[in-house]
Amino acid sequence: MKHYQAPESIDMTDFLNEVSKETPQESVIFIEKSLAIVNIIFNILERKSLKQKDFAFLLGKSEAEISKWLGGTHNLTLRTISKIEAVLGESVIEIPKKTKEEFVIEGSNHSKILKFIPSPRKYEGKENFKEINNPYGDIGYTAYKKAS
Amino acid sequence: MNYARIIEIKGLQLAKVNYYTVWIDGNDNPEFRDFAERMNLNPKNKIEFQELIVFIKQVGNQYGALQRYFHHEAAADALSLPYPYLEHIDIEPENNNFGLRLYCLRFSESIVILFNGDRKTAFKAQDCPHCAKYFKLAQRLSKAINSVIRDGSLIYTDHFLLIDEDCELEF
Repeated sequence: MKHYQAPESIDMTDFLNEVSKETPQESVIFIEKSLAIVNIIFNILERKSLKQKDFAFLLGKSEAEISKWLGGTHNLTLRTISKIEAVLGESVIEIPKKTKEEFVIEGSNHSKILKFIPSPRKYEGKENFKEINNPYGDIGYTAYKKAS
Repeated sequence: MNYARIIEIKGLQLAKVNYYTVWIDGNDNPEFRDFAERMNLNPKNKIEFQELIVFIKQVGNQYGALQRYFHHEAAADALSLPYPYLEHIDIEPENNNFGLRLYCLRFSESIVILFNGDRKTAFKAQDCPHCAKYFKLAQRLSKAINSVIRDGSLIYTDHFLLIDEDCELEF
């Protein structure tokens, strides 16, 4: 009669925490982004019902090379990602479009203002501004945003 | 004949993956701790080792041990080993030359046994003076683990390994 139990354990928590503390931020970012990019690629492949071998064929690469590319630790160059995006017809990396939001914070404590344009009351056409939820929370301000 | 036992790694029992290792009788350290301490102490290996730990933790916490992250040992096919079969994780250095290799046995997306490894300096692990011995050891340990699975001394649930109190790996 078998009696099952969990295996005995060793504690590597402290050691691993020390390693993490010493790990350069760029290494953390590299691995996190590599895994995220690979995940996106696989999601696209799944959506398009493409197997890895089809993907390799489209890229003119061997399955072994693609397996290496998509292992999550390979240093994919921007050129390689561009080729991938071209054959898949979809973005793998999106560059966020930063738009300058003009808003004014009205309130008594101006020290909290990060972006300030003169109060719309000082301009003609206050109707060009609309009140929005205060991005800084309820700290005695009224926030306005230029109406699009 | 050599003997070993399966060991749970505290610190690597994560949200999506539970990692284990193996302790060979008579050795000072279990296999993964031996690998970790050797790599961490060597300045030439340290950065890639740190990235490997980030990788193991990210996979363990966020993605699960998906097949894509583990690479199949061709030799496992040649030996016709049943599943789970020997695989490895590679961490490549910045210049994309050979990097660190860690051998492992992936039972499922939730259970992985981490063995040992080193820096790979040849195209084939078997030809690499650093990795060859760890590759051969991992092969023997994999066969031993498959044997105890077959005889029912080792079972696995969705997330955990369970061993019979008399379970011992013989290799």
